[in-house]
Amino acid sequence: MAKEIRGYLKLQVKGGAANPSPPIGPALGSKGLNIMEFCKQFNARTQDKAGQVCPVLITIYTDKSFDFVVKTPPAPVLLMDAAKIKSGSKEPNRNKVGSVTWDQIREIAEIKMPDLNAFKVESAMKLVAGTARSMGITVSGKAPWSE
Amino acid sequence: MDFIQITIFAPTAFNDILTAELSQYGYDTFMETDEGLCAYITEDIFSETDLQEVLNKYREAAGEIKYTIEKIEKKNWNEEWEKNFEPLLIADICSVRASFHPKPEGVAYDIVINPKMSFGTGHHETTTLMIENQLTVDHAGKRVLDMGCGTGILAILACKLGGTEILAVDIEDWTVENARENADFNDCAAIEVRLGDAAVIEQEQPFNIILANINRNVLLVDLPVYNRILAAGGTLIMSGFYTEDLDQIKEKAASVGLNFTSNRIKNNWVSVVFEKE
Repeated sequence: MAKEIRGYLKLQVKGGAANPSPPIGPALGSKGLNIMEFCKQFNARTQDKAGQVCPVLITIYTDKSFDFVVKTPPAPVLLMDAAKIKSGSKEPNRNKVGSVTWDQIREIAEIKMPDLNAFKVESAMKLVAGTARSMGITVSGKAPWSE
Repeated sequence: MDFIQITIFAPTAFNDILTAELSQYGYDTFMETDEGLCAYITEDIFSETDLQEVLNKYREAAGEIKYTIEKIEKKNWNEEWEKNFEPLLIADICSVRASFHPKPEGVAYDIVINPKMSFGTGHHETTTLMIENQLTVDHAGKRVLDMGCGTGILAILACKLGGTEILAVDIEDWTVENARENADFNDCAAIEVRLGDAAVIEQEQPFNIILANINRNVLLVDLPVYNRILAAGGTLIMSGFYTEDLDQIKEKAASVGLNFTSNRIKNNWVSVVFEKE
């Protein structure tokens, strides 16, 4: 028989850095889950993404067990890495703080595809480019589909 | 150390951007709730000016962004799980239980652990595997090091197996405190617990046995230090990584001159044993 689901938790945790402090400790602990077991598993699974924020969806079952899925890092995190900047623009609409190429947008779109509501890589690229603009990151060159 | 929880009320479309931005200011973990995006930071590095600077950037696009600040005091969040902690029997001879469980009959090694917020109750595959490997090694009269000791469970077993000088090390202050409590509870006066990482053991006299249940990245970095302070003929037992990481660990160990002896696997987790000539 399938286990009965008690609820979900949506967290974003830096890869390899889960520890029992808030929110992990209180959120899992209040439901009677073994906090340290989650941390050990999460850290081992995300050891190649050290320091990068990783979204994680935890399914909590009524028998106090859990499963979790680690998703792709948020597009803004990948964009900041690609543009080699530490933060978005102070005035995203006016001042641009960095730029990325369409090739980089494609790379990010391909990473993000499994988690985006996009069937084509071009649609994913448009979403990622939109996020870049709202952070004050310009996309240099012509969009591949406008050629 | 206490924590600060910031709850941000902004359109959900901005959650990812705010997460990316705040992660550059020391916010390590985020939680999406029905009320808003919660961001967490330790009290010592929290700055409301930094927070406002980030939020101000997106006020034009996102409209009004409100937030609340709440302090969360550190406590034992694992209490609920601890109440339901089932006692274990490993390899038919080693039991691990909490102090509220009755003492088991007929086991050679009875370990009492009150874990609080530390890792190591034997319920995780890596701890079970480490214990199974430890039970095959003669500890009598030996000097033992337990790196990343958590609750101190492996150090306590080392003491019960006859180890005479045991050093347990961990980087978390609450864990160090917990390992000391557990060592006392098990009457293990031979255990010294120390706060720190590999840097605090570099000057140590050689150990006959080194135990390290941490993770792949830390083990790869610290292997040369373990090798330097491992006595000739000594044993190194490690865990905390998956089968797919085993080759990398073996390669690194071989490069520092350690000989692979054996490994155990459970649910894709590995514990591996190396020896020094």
